[in-house]
Amino acid sequence: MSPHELDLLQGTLDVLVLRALSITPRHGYAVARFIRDRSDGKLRVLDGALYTALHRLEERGWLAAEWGRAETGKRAKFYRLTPTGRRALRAEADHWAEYVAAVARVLRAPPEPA
Amino acid sequence: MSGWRRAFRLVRPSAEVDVGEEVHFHLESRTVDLEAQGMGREAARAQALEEFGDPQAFRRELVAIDRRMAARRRRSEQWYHAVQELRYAARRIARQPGFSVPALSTLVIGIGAAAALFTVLQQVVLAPLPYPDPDRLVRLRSAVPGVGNAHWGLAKAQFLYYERETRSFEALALYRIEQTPVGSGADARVAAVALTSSGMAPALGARMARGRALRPADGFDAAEPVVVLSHRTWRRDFEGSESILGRTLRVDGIARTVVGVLEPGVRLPEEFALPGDAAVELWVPLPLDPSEVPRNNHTYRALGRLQPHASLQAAHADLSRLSEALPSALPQAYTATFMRETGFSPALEPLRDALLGTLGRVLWILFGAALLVLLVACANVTNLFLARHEVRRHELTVRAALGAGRRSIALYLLGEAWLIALPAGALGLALAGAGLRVLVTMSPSDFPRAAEVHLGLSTVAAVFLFAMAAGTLLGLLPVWRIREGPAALADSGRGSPAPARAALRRALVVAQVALSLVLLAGAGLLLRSFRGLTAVPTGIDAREVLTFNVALPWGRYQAPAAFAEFYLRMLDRMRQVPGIQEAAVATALPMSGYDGCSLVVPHDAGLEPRGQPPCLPVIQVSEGYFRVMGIPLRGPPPARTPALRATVTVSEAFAHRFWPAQEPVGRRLGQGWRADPEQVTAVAGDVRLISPGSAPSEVVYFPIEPLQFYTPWLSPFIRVVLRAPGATVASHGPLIRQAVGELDSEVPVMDLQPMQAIVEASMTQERFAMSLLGLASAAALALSLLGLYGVISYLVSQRLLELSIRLALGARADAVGRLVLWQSFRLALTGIVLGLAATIGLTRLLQSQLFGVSPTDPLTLGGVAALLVVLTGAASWVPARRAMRTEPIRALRSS
Repeated sequence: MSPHELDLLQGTLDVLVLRALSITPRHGYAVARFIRDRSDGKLRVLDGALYTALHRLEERGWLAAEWGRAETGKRAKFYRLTPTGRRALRAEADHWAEYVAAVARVLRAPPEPA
Repeated sequence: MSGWRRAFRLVRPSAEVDVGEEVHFHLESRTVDLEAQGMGREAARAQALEEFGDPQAFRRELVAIDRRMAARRRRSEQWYHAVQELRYAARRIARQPGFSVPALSTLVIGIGAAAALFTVLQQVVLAPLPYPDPDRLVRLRSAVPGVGNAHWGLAKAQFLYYERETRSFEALALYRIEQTPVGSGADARVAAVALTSSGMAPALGARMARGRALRPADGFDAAEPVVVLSHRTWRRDFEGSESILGRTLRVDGIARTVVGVLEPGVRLPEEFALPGDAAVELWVPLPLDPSEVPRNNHTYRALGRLQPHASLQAAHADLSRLSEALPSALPQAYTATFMRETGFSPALEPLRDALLGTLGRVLWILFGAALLVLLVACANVTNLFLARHEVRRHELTVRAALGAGRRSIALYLLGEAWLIALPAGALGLALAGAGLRVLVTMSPSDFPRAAEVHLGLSTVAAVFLFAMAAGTLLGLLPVWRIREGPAALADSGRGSPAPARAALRRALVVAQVALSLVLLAGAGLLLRSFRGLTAVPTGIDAREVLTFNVALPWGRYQAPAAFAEFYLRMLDRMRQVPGIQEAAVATALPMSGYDGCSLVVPHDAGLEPRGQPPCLPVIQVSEGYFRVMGIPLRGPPPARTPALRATVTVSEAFAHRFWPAQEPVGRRLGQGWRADPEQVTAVAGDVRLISPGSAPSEVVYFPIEPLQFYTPWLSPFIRVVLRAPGATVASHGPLIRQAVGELDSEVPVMDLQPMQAIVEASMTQERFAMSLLGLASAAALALSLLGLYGVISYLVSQRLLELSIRLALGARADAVGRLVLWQSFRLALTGIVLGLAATIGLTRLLQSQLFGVSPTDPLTLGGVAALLVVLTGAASWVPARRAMRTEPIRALRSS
């Protein structure tokens, strides 16, 4: 593992998956590629964990899945965001932004007088 | 597993295959991408695997998630199907009112009747009385088999003796409830007051909200007059004042100090039969002084609480032993002869049984009747469902042949049955609720806790369970007959009914007829018995007679002479009221019950001298009593003689018992051996003091005027009778109240009513049982005739082909009609024979309710059977006519 790769915080993977699928329906490998490319390989995710997230989100009803043909013509399972999933993404993204902002505020705080 | 599901399973890959394919696709794509970046095939493959993590472990996890998901999806699909089926079923039912309306209404009637009576039975008969450990409460009376009147109350001395000596009871109470003037001046009114010994609160487990309970010393002659208030009275009349203790309240003209207030909800057992606003308001100590001379006067009620582990039998044995020793313990009041002649002994029964009396039995019988109605209703609905399933047999077989499994067909049928049964349950409960209100208004006046009866949770639960079970059974009825496959399809199109099914339907009709006969016979017997009761000569002419009670305040009318003077003045005043022809007073009226008795010695009657004389009702009457009541009188009425003695009158029954075949006029009788005898100058026609069902009473009538040497105990509480043709309570009530008020404003007029109402009230329980059983049997009869009609119509339609062939071959139409009628008569006759057999077994339960009719009265049973035969004919007439008018050619074509 290179020192520049970041471990994912719990629950963050779900937001990333939802974000990946909010643009267009994709199969699992396309979701993995999307996250790897957009994060310049900085986010370290086990691909297996990514699939677990996909199936969990499907079970929760945020994603719907169906079998189709990939670009290569091979059979692949495609996921798309359900309306519930889209609402969930909005909520999770807001939540994430607040979290980040809060952490940033703490880090930028001026040193307290001793 | 059914065909379509197997097929579906083949199309849908299992979770393992899905997950394997998905993971494989990922690893393959990643390897290809890495190769494109210039990696070697093996290195690319290894990197893809490393990036993925442990494929085995992830695969297992993914499969687990997918399985869970699939299971949940299946469940929701099933729900969706079930809801869908119910929706279809509702639509089908709505489109077929010819089936759903009779099915629903039949069940509603059956469920309504059963639920109403279940509720009454549960809350009146089965529910424990609202006292702590109610099973330990016992009513005490004195059994006197040697005297016509079966039971007396207890005497004071007897009670004190028991209370002192018994070890079986935790507490004993002697009491009497009286309507007594309370308050004074403008606030004066009459209230129900309990005169009770100090044991009442411990016996009932009643506690005080304020102050103290009554003490034994409160009943002593020299005691301060005290009173205890009911919680309700304290709240209503004293606004719950905290300074209530120590205040005084005039009760019966005596100023009494309030020493306590009962907790809310404390009630004497008798109050359960009283309407709420007639509840006992005050507890006053019963004068009960051990130094009082023992008297043989058994007119008090008594109850007791058994020791925690004492049995009723043991307590009875204990009191019996004490009673046998009465002649030595209380020789002034009890002689050995008295004990022998009367068969005097204590009678104990659980308080609950005592309150219910014969009503418990009546309610059980009525509940049984309601269950029979429910059974008839079920048989009817089953028949309706069978007929419907018959019609749809073809449709169901097609469904089965197309691959619908038993389960989906069962759901289809169950949906329909539940949609009938569950709403029927709900409507049945509504009917029961309405029925209960009617039931309560027509119930006998001594019906305990009637006003509190309401639909309870257990009734609702029972009805719901019943409806579920009934729906399930009705729905699943035909499922076991559905066969799968083309063979079933081939023969289902033909119209011939399954023989087993037709036999079941016939059996159901037979059962309905039999059950209806049982109910009809029961109702018929009660009707005959009731008519017998009303036909009993009451001995009085109650029409045109009004009656009311007055109670004189004890404080101002201490002497019997004062009572009598008031009564006679009141009668004079009454006679001046327009419309009143004659007025009289009496200490007891016919048909309203009679407590206690006096010792009467008829001379020359062959009684053993010095023995205890018979104890019989002695009624004091004013001179016009017999005229007002229309009682025939041979000789002059009882009157005071110039020597302040009396001439007396005896009833026919009295004369018949003591001076059989002799002239009673001119004979003499005394009260007790020592008293000087009085002259009998007249014989009065027989009356019944208890109820029309009781034997004619052996009564002695004394004059109301005070006599010199002894004064029979004259009550400050007396009954007034008025002969006033055309007068009603509404027209004469104000006049009567005004007239009495002018004499003494503190004397209230109570229970003003026509004498006829008293006569009728003495038969309310009989009327109640008869009306309800009549209603039940009418419902059962209607249902079973509907069922008979349905089955005969159905059988005719099934045989239409055969019948038209007969007609085509030259059979005469009336012969065909007879064939159909005979078919239904055979069913009805089988039902009637079975029903008669059951009736003879069951009506014995009615025995105690019957008066002058045997439970197997041939006239009633024959009449009921004949009625059923006639009605069977009527019910089969329409189908028979249809069979006779069949046009052979049309029937042949349509089949």
